Amino acid sequence: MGNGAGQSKPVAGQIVASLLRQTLAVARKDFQSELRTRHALNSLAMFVVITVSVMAFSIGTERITSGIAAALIWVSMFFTAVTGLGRSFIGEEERGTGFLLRLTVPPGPTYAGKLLVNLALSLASNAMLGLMFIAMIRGAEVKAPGSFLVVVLLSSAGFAGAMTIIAALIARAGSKGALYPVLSFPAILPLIVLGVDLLRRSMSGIGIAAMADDLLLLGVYSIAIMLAGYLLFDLIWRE
Amino acid sequence: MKGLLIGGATVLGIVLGFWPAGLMKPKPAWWRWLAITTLAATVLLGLGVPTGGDFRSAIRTTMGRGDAAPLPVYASVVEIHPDSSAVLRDMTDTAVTVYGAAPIIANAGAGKGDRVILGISFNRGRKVFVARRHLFTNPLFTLPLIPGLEERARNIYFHVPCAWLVQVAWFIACCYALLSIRKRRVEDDVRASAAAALGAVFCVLATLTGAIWAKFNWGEFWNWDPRQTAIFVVMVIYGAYFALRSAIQNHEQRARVSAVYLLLMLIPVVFFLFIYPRMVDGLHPGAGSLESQPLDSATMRPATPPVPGRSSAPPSGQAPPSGQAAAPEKKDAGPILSSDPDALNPIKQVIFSLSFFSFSLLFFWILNVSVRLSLLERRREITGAAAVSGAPGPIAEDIVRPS
Repeated sequence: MGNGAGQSKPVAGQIVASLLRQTLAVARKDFQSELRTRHALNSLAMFVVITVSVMAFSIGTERITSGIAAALIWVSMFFTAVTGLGRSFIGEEERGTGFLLRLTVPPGPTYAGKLLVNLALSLASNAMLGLMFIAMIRGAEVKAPGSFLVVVLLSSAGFAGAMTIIAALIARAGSKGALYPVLSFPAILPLIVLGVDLLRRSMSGIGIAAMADDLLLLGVYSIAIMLAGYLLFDLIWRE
Repeated sequence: MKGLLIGGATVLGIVLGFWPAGLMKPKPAWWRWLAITTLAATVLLGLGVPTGGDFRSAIRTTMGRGDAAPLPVYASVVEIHPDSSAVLRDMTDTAVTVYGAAPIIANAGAGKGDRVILGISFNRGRKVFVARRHLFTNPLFTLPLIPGLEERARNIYFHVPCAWLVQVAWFIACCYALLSIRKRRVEDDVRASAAAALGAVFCVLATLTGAIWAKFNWGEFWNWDPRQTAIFVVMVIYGAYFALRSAIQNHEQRARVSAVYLLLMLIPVVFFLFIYPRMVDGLHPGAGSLESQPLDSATMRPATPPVPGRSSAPPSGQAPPSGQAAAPEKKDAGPILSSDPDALNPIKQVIFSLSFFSFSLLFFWILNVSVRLSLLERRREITGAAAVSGAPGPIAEDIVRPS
């Protein structure tokens, strides 16, 4: 924090605490401004409902295999993420508040705060998506709920990591919304490649221990893309 | 020796790509002539050196294809019989009587003691070799015949350098992207985007040459083999990169944002180049997941056909027409990277090194021209704007630098 520089040298613990506080402040600000209008939350929830309904009506009474169910869930998760997670930075640019944020908070906590918000959003939307799929589509049964949950959790983390930094890029590109899926697809593809198979296996009843390697890889990729985003965020956030 | 030759050619190609004149000044005449002659030599040798096998490979190849399929066999004429048959001795010192060979050899002007390459098929019913046509007399060099690949093996001189240059282009683009972030120079951004554009071109070339090869060896143009997936991802990234660039008008902003995007995409690229091929079985030589199966000793193929992608995916279309795949002899590495010196014939090593070298020079030549072209366009943009505003059009070198 800038006002600490004049006093005695801050201890590392204090710096971490202040960064954490700033991160949480950014996240809280986003949550509060969201709760005021509930615009993003409502549209995201409606998007999930509509997507699953379209799937349900298209499939009809057909009973699908767990492989196809996993693929459909992933398609829906990708487009939900593309629809909902870009708001974080694009909203800042549209409201013109990005400038103030830049003045008051260093880039690191800004990124981390936005990442937290996106993590919560993507977790909520993916969980809702998974539940609605199980409820509305015949054949989408989960035989190993524990591993299903872990897969959804790790994929949501990966989505949030990739989508946050790309949202920041898009915001700098003048909020070209159509670019969002195009730019994020290559970063999401490793998640899809790993995740579809993991989801299928968890739906057909394979436990966490039996697919620990792939789960680890999914987690490592999610963390790697988050860290890369953190390192690169500085460069695009600064004026 | 093989490693030295191919590695040396690769390094020399990149060094010569940068060293005289870099990417921003015209290349000297000798350099351009070197590029043209080595490229011509690659094409001539790569397509021109005849392939010649032995009688055993002729037997092996006709197994899946019927009796009429002729295969080039390289042999010396030992004897010519009056009943139009001839005794030929191949490179493994196997002497065989070939029916119908005498008139074909005589028509070609060859005779006893000459070395010829004949199209020979093996009649499995009568267990005899029948000559079909004359292909070559006394060749200076021959390439060995790889059953299952045959003449298609020549694609290695064109497909592999293209795929390699995709990676070189990616590396160069990332380096200049990093530099353009650090130093904020227009030249670095121009070089990064030119390398990316050229990388995209070579990406398309590698995909096309690979798809044609895949059609005739694996049965389908596209199989979602891990390497095909990787090249697809790289192509999508290049597409997204240029979409992003075209969306931003401000030059400096565009340089920074697109550079950051390129660096961010290093993570999926690393995943698809290094991790994904080890997770799933593939069709390319050298592919194999950690739990790859033992090879069937008779056909030198995995006991069950490899299925790229998910384990639930169906096998890749119909069976390959030849009845045998590319026959990965060693599961740990392809012929290029294998530590076995016999895995790649010496003449093939030379042509392969030459192709790497000449393709690198071609790549850097085009890169050099496109960098200079975009710098000129950038300069014209600035001087044009200056002329409109009434100021004298400066043609100084540093007009292309940002203010």
